[in-house]
Parts: sequence; structure tokens; C-alpha cells
Amino acid sequence: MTKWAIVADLGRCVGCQTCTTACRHANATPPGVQYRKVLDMEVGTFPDVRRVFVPVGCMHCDEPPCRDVCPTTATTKRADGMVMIDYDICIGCGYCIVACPYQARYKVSKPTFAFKDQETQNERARFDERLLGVAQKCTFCVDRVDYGLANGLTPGVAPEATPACVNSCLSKALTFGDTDNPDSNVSKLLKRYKSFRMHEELGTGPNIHYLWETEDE
Amino acid sequence: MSEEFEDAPGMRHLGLSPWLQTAWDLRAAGNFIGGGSGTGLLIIASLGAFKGLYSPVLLLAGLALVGLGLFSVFLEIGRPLRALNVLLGAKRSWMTREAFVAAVLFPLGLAALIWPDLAKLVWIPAAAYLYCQARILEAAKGIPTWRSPLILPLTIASGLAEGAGILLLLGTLVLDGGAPEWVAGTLVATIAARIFVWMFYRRRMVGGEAPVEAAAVLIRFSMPFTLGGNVIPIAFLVLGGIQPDIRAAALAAAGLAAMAGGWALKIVIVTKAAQNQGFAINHSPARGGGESGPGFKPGWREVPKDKD
Repeated sequence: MTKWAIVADLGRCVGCQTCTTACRHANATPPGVQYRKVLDMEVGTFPDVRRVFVPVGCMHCDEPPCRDVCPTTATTKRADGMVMIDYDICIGCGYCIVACPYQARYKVSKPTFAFKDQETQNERARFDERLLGVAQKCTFCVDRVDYGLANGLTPGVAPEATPACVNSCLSKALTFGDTDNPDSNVSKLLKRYKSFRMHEELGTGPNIHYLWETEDE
Repeated sequence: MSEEFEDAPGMRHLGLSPWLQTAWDLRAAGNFIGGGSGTGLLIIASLGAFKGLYSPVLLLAGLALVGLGLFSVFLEIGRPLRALNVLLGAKRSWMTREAFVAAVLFPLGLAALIWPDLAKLVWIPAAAYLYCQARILEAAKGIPTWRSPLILPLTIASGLAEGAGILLLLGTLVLDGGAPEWVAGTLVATIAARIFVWMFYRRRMVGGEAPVEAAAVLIRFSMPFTLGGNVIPIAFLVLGGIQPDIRAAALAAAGLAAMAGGWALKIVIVTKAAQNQGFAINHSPARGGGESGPGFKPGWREVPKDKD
């Protein structure tokens, strides 16, 4: 089996938001919609303070609450673990949006662009009317992954088969790969370093893993 | 950020702490208001049929409330022309199951207008519908105040209290001699159940099961709800009992207050105490020569415990 996941090394992320920008460009998301974003956290109280940058987005959960509540079957989970939305079936009820504990889903009713009513060339090229009035979210750049697999490439290794956010990460904080494969890049990272997953207590089985202690011994 | 806002609650961790969901507004609350009150009324009226209570007006009012609730949520969906797709997800979704139950409830309720004996069966789909509504909220894992297991008894108790209240109110207006005696007793019982569950629910939410901001909303709402929606109806019932000359008005007022309390409860839970989960980390990372540190859960009372 295959289970795609992202490993985010919190020790490496510098909060530059390049992944956010790459994602917004790849998906031409409207203002306010960020499938991938990086949170800027200040932890502790002076003088014991830490700054932490945390990439978040759809966690492509093992047990996605968004799928469980969807009244239309628009939200499904593929065999490789990716949680997908069929934009042609979704009625835009917003139930999945309130069911997601990661605030990863959005609904936009009217076309909006970065420069108000002026589309950029990229926005025009990638505009998809099917996304209006329905739920939308990160897809792990499924088109890239599927293209890669169809052409014998390894997602997470070959850039053509890897999500845009991971490709763009300038500090190599993000790694994409198959956690069901013990020899994959992500499996090796998870074996070697300590990790946690966000809101794990809710039982959703999120598939973005956070490394928090990767200083070499 | 402006200095005057830096220490304002919720500003320091804007975008990290839980914030109020905006996907479901008053239109969604309307579904729980209409559905809860309508099914509550239908359940009590239907069970009353075993004691000889039969009124087409009560049946129609219950169905109309449920219908208005469904219409209200229909107004909120992004693609209304695809509304029937709501029937596709019965395997998992309580929203789909609610729609299927509605497809039984309406024909049966309307048939009961023609064949009064069928009124004795209406409570079954009505109860199922009310249960589905409670499960809809409980299944929304992203909203801590909704996913509490106590939302089930709270929603059901409130629906029944609202239904009993409406029966008292309508009974005064449309039934000969007003609503039967037992309806007032039913209202007291359902209000008692509602306030009993509410106390436990509020305590758990304030105790750390909900974000601080959501808990604050519930704390602010608690007193007006307890008094206005629960104590005052009982006071009116007592007043109606000791002052026969104003009995009808007192019973109607008791019903109205009980109903209004339930509606306010749903508006608050669905649209005001509906902060999402926010973001959290279990550990903060080691950077450079430093050491890793504790976790961080802004907007919540407790920080996740370090397991290592």
C-alpha cells in the first residue's frame, strides 16, 4: 500500500512563506484562501522564549472528519490516503469546513483576484469555475503526484512528481513521501527523529508529521 | 500591530488561537431551531394522540417548522441546484440521514391530517429527525463546543422543551380549553432535563473542553438562559396554577419563554460559541545550540503535556 504524507522539520522551517507562495501560485487561490500556510508562534514567556514556524494545511487524515460528515460523498479518500473533493458533486453546505479541526477548508462564492477585479495571467489561466460555491482545500498537488507515478517517477524525490510547497522549500523543511514504504525519505526521517502530529488526541490520524528534535548527535 | 491592541484578548495570537467559525451562520442555526422545535412539537403531539389529543394545526405547525428549518439551510448552501446530492452520503453523514428521515416524516405527517390514527406514529420519524440533528452537531470535530457528547442530550432535551412550549402556546390559541393538563408537566420535565444537561455541558466546556473564548460566551449566556428560558417558564406555570383568571395567558407565556430560550441556546451554540480548534504544537523545536521546549496551545486553558 501507499500512504502519502508530509514531514515538516520545525527546526529547519524559517517561516519564509515560500511554500505558501508556491501553493498560491500553483493553485491560483483567491485572497484569503491558503491551502498551505506557515504559522508564526511565539512560545513561552520572556526570557525563555522560542519562535516556531509551523507549516499547516490539509492533513489528509487517516480518518478524515470532513469525509465522515459529507452528505454528498464529494469528499473521498483515495487508496493512497489523499483526501479529495469532487467539485462537481459538492453542494457547498460547509459541513466539512466546520468538521475539520485543522481549519484547512475554504468556500468562496464569487470570483475574487489578488488585484480586485483584475486577474493576473496566472489567475486567468488557472481559474476554475467549478470551485465557486463549494469546499476547496489542499490536494497534495495530486495532479503532479499522479503525473509522476504515470511516468515512473517517485513523488517526493522527483520534483515533477512532488507537491509545489515541498519543491519550493528553501530550507528543506518539508519532505513528501510514502510512509507505508519503510525505505522512503519520510519513513527514514520519522524513524530517525522524534515527531508529533497536530491534534492527535482527536483521532483523525493526520498525515503531516512534525519533527521537533533534529539536531545531529 | 498597533500597541493598543497588542495585549487585547485574542490579538496576540491572531490566526493561532481558535476563532469563530463563519461557515455556518444564522441560516444553519435556523435548521436546528426549526428542526428541534418542530420535531419536539410533533413528538409530544403524537404521543398525546394516545391520550386523545389530535389537532391538525399542531401537526401542520410542527411540519412547517421542520420545513422552514430545511429551507433555511437550503439558503446557505453554495450550489442550491445540486441540493438533492445531499441524499448520496447515507453511509456516513448524519445530514444525509436527516434528509432521509424528513422524507418519511413529511408524508406521514401530512397523511395524519387525513387519517388521524396515523398521528400516533409521527413521533417515530420526528424523534429520529431530532436525533439526527443532535448527531450532526456532534460529528463536527472541528468545533469543540459541538463535538461534546453532551450536545446530544442537550439538543434533544431542548427540542422537547421547545416543542412542549409551542404546544402550550398554540394550545391556548387553537385548542378548545387550551392544552391538556399533562403538557405543563411535560414542559417542566423537559426544562428540568435541559437545564440539568446545560449545567454539566457548561461546566465541561468551561473546564477546558472548549477554547477560552467559546467558554466565555457560554458563561455570559448562562445566566440569561437559565433565568429567561428555564426559570421564568416555570414561574409562569406556577403563576398560572395559583391565578386561574390569568391561567391561559400565563401558560402561553411559559411556552413562549421556553421556546425562546431554546432558540437562543441554538443561536449561541451554532453562531457565537462556535470557535474552531485553532492550532497547537506538542513541542517547540531545538534550534541551533538550544534545546527543544514545551508545547503551545494558544486560546486554550491547558497546554498539551510533553509525553517524552
